This record gives sequence, C-alpha cells and structure tokens, in this order.
Amino acid sequence: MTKLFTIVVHGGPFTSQASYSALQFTLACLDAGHTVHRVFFYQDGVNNGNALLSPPQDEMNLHSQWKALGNTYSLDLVVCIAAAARRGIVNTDEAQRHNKPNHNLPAGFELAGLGQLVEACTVSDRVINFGTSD
Amino acid sequence: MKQQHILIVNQHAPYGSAKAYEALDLALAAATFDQHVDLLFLGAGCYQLIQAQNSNAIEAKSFSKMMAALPVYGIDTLLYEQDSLTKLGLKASQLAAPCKAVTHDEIASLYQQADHVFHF
Repeated sequence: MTKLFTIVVHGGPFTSQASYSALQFTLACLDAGHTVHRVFFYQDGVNNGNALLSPPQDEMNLHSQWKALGNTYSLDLVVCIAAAARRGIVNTDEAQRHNKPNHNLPAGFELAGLGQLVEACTVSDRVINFGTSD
Repeated sequence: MKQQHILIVNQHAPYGSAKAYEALDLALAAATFDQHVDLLFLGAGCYQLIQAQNSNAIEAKSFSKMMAALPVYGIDTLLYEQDSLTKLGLKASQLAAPCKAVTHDEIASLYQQADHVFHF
C-alpha cells in the first residue's frame, strides 16, 4: 500500500550526512511508488536552498540535486521562512523586504512558515526527520 | 485541520545554538494550529527550564521569557526527566512555572501516544 510521506531536513548540506540521506530517502519513496507530500527544510537544513553553494566540480552539489529532484517530480520544496531569514537564505521578495542587495533562493523552493510543517503532520502517514541527532 | 499529538523532545541547552529556539518555534506553530503538543526535556535540555536565566551578557533573547508565553498557546505542562535534572545538579524549585517530572515509563507512553515526534 502506498503511503503519503513528508520529509523534514534539519541538517545543513556538507556539514552533516542528513541532507544527502534525506535526498536518497525521498528518491527511494518515489521509486517505491509512494507520494511525497512535502519536503520541509528547517534549522540548518534551509541552507540546501542556497543557490550560491559552489562545491568543487567533482563533488556533489546538494542544492542542485534537490532542485532537479523537485523539478522532475514536481515536489513541494518548502524552506522555513524564519529559519532561512536568520541564516541569510532569501528569495527575491524577502531580499526586497529586508532591503538586501541580492537573493539566493531560486524558484523551485518556496519560503513559508512552520504552519506548512504542521499541516504536513496532519495529512501525512509518515513524517521522517533527518539530522536531529547531533 | 485534523488534531495530531505532536511530541517535541528537547536535548540541548538554551543558548549556543538555535535548536532550543527553533524547537519552541515549532511548538508554538503547532499549538497555534490547535495541535496537541507535548514538550519533553531530557539531559542538557533541562537547562532550558531554569527560571533565573540572564542572557544579557551574550546579547541573546531570554529563553525563560519565551517559555512563560507557552500557556497562552495552550501548552500548560512542560515535562522533564527527573534523572536528567539530578545529574545536572538542579532542583525542581529552580525551574520556571509549570514543569512536571516524568518517569521512564511515562516517557515511553508519551512516545507511544504521539503521532509525530521531533527531536531538537
């Protein structure tokens, strides 16, 4: 029986294994025929939305991978707006609102409040967290 | 919105990282959307419950003031593990208002009753 999953990413890219594990789990869910209701980025996980991440070319770029996965499967990639603003992750609207010269959260990622995580809890069969153990 | 039982487990001290703050943010958001929220404090997380916190020296917002707002959101009881408190050398009288000690068995049933668990 297929289930409705929500994936919550708490760990930052490159600083912990959490983001990559979450990415692989999301892909495994989809491969197995399950539905992913939402991927919610919270705490340092919001850094996955940063389009300026520039790892060496022979290394994996988690931002690009999330973006590609979201695009391929029309995933709802939601970045917590409060956690993101604190860490300097802003889209065009937020950059303008905070009077910042640049933005780094591209289309494909949505900025929204924790209500989106709470809503996901109320509708999902499983909410799977990555990166909360350290 | 369907009401779910959400357990938020706090294991880190209030300052030095955003964990405690962002756990509290989630608790408040869940309570705002009429979810049943239980806050459990284990290990160093019990430091969050101390009444006499003065965070001026590190230019941080006082955590105890934010905790004091929890009853307004319908979160009346903050649960802590007694062993943790003892190990940290703290007494129940040092904790902010509505805290309650829970046994290991009670912690086990909290996990069983919860629809979703978040660790911070």
